[in-house]
Amino acid sequence: MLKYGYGGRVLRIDLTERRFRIEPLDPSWVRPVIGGRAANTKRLFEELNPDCDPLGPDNILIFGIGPLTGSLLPASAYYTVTAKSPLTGILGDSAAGGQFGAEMKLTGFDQIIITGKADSLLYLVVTESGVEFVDCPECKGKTIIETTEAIRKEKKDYSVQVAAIGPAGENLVLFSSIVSSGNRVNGRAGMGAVMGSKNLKALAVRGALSLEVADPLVFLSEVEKIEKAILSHNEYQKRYKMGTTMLMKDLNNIGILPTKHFQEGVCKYVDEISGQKLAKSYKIKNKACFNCHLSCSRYYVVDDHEAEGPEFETLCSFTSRLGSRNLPFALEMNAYLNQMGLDSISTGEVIGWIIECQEKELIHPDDMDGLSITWGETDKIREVVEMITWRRGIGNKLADGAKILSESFGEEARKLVMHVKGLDMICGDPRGIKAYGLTYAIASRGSDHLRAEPYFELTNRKEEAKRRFGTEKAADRLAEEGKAALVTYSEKIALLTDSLTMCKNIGLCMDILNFENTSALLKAGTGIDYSPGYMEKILGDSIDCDFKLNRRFGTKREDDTLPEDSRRSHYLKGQQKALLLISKEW
Amino acid sequence: MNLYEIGIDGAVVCNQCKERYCDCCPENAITIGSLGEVVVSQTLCTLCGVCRKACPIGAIEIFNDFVYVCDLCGGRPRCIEACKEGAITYEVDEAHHPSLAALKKETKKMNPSQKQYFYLKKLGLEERKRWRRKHA
Ligand code: SF4
Ligand code: SF4
Ligand code: SF4
Repeated sequence: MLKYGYGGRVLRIDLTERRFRIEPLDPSWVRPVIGGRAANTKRLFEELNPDCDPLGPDNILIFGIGPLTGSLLPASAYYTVTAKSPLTGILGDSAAGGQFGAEMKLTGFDQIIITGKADSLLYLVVTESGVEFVDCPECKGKTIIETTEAIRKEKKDYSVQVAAIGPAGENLVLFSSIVSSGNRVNGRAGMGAVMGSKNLKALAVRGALSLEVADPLVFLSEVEKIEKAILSHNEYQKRYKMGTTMLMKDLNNIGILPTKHFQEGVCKYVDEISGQKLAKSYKIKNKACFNCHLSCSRYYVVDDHEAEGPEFETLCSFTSRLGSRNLPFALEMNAYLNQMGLDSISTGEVIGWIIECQEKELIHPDDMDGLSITWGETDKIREVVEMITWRRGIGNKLADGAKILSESFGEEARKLVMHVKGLDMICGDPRGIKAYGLTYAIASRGSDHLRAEPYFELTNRKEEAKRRFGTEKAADRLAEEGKAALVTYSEKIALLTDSLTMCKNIGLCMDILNFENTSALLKAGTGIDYSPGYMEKILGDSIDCDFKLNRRFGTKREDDTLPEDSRRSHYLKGQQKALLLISKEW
Repeated sequence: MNLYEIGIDGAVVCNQCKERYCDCCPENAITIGSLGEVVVSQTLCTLCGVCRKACPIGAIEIFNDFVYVCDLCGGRPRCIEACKEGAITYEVDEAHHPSLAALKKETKKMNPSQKQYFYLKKLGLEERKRWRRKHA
């Protein structure tokens, strides 16, 4: 019996039959994966027919949390959603913070496994005692916040936490997201479309159980150590002020800020679109996920708009990446995308790719239903984003993402899509950050930094690099030496963070978690012995499981590579010679 | 509690209101301490929930057979020390604070969660006027 930390139960929901079943979570099942993302992948590996249609009833949608989710451990409110991705056809998952995970913990379910397809639009309310199926035709087309408010009002309970899809998810845009706590996004691999394909508008959770830890005093003292490490971190002030938007200038300074769809790595007008500018001119207050001391998120007001965010990826995707210097426009787009449930990276990529292809005359407006668009044309970008959301006109094709869309064009155009395994590349040019490049290439959900986030290579800690990875070069972003070791280590810490669960900004980027302190936290939290060595081993096994699963989905060794455009030798304008060195192997 | 539609987040804590609506406990389990704090005798309490219903802002919670209400930590509230946003103050800003007597009427038919929401929204809308002025 799992007594401490874990809820110890799994909830299975069949939408076709509108039935649910509660199962105990076997300790021996969960011990080799800890929980969270790793447990979700294991579940998919064991139960999913790999050939199933990702948008069909057989796909399995899993909401998973870990043993320490919602505990006193700072920033521990994360949860992961996993399914076969409709965008990439391989493993898809996405983690988010907010309050949802913490509330889900109080229902006593470590995993909520959803299969089948409802015959009409509905939402689910999960409490500790089971599931209520609520028809909601009136929610069709509603934004995230409208849906969330409607459910809270209906339930007369404002502590209900809601993870919902917007119109983009309902319309099965392949890169649509799920959004909880109003603004916390499970983006990237199209989990919103999977939910939409099941006619599931929202999953609401409200629990009345408590979370008990095995040894409260020891747990508290371990938590205090972590709190201290966060509060005294040298990046604390910067992250508190700007959150991830600090990266606009940081990446620009080292020539890797995607500009005009990765054609340039330095953006001349960065000061107009930077995190500093945002904090100074538009930020109203900080926002936080449950029990977080960093409160990295922000609320802003600009003209008639106001919203939470944006994160760096959205900010960059709708400024420099699309050649726009209009910060208020990016803020407007942030609110729109989050409320409609669209992934900002993929939306930015498909538009940026079209602009570059039109600039290079590889795609004629006639082939795009008359769409002719160039850098920084904000009115047109806005229009295109709307068409994608509703799959209107040419938007219907763009809603399949850049890679699938590119398949009906020539080779030159196809080569310009910045993706790995069908997932669009994040905003960070791999040519100037080698460990990240390696991460994008091998990441199991496609071009992605969060599978390892080797932020270490940007922190210039030479001695620590030598100690941990055997060479000072691991801390040199342009070197290749030591990067395999850095990425292997970071992949494990990333998975560990996602499995506990905790926020990767803190656990990983700020280098707060390691095998030793996590071992102590888990022991005090769950009463189960997870020695550092054992953890390292099972995390490695779980990463292998990702790859084995992807092989079933049909990926090959050759897919673990970077897009040709980011390997080409003629290089980014405006950069120094030092950056021109490009690995031949990638 | 988060009010997503207006960007307001807030924690509802006891105001030590002068009306003392919660001081209606049928078991006399509630008394008012020397600092003005609400004191609940967990031995006299029968968990009937009357106090929870009486508070116009939902500042009393019952969870796992225990009545939770602010007791001012004996005069040195730890939450004020811990909050780095300055969101909690000891003194009530009377000029900007809605009257609890008015709230009592307005929230009559509501459950505690709805009361918390209503109260925070009232406070929040005032706060937002200040934001707008700042960004006009
Ligand atoms: S650091 Fe930011 S994203 Fe992470 S838990 Fe804290 S507020 Fe949430
Ligand atoms: S709990 Fe509510 S009714 Fe009682 S003193 Fe505090 S604010 Fe007043
Ligand atoms: S510490 Fe401050 S910001 Fe955090 S929840 Fe409490 S009142 Fe709000």
